[in-house]
Amino acid sequence: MKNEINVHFGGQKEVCGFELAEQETVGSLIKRLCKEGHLGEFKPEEWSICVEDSDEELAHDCHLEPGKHKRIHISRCKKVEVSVIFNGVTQSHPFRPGTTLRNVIQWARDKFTVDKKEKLVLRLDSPESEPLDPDSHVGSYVSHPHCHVTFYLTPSVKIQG
Amino acid sequence: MRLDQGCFEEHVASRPFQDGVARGYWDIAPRDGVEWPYAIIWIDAPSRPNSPERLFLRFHLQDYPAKGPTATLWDLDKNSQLDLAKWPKGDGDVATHPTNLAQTVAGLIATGGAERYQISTAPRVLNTATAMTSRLAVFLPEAWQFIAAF
Repeated sequence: MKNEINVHFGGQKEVCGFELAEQETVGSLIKRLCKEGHLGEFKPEEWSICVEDSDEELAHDCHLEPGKHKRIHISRCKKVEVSVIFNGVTQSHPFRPGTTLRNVIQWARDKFTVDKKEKLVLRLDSPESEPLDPDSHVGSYVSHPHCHVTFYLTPSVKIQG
Repeated sequence: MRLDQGCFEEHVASRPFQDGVARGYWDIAPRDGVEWPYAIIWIDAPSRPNSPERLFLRFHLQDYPAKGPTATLWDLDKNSQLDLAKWPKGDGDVATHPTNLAQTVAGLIATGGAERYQISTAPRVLNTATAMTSRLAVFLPEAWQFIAAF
């Protein structure tokens, strides 16, 4: 759809598509989502929106444009404290909720000085759990007021064809 | 419309598949003469010298999703299986023989993918294919029950 915007929600893995109204602002979209029951019983002013992999939070009077704001993240956490464990060492950094795991992996690769050729994945709960979708957002793994998540950074396991 | 075709089209219209479309990872490749139970889906290929930007997979979807589909890499211009010489080369950690990849893709759809092959470990061609197929598979039971109820 021409005016559709992809919306990721804090604490949820699923992505939803919403048609933008004429002159839609961040504030009006949040109010609409609240009214339609997508945001629980929380007040509109509690929510914030950021664009995927952008470090800026959008003001509530900001006009949303499908071409410019293709994919947004709506969350009550303004920042997510991300801890990454690699070979027993932990590094932490605050990220916007709309940061993709792809960018977190890149950050972690630099922090741990891992060879660029090494394929890396993030996993939740344990180093043996399923690799996480690199396009997912860090905000999807936290629920306010607990705006902290720990990932395990591991090399990819080679496939036996 | 046939039940299997309707189910497949429902899955293709679902958010996980359409999310990949929005990100430019895959989509249905429209082509004249492709009729059910066949469907061609393109996936974005790894960026390498002398490599195509897209790879096409032709799926055979008879009795989808009750039966796992089979798939092979397809030459859209020639309307035939892609020449072996043009098959993507992995990093040495993935089987590149067409039979194996076809079986892999089919197996992924049938089993849910991630259980047998970890998405992030494959070269991007298979990575995307596995993501595509496993995401489709995620929706199988619920959607199938919904359709079967009617």
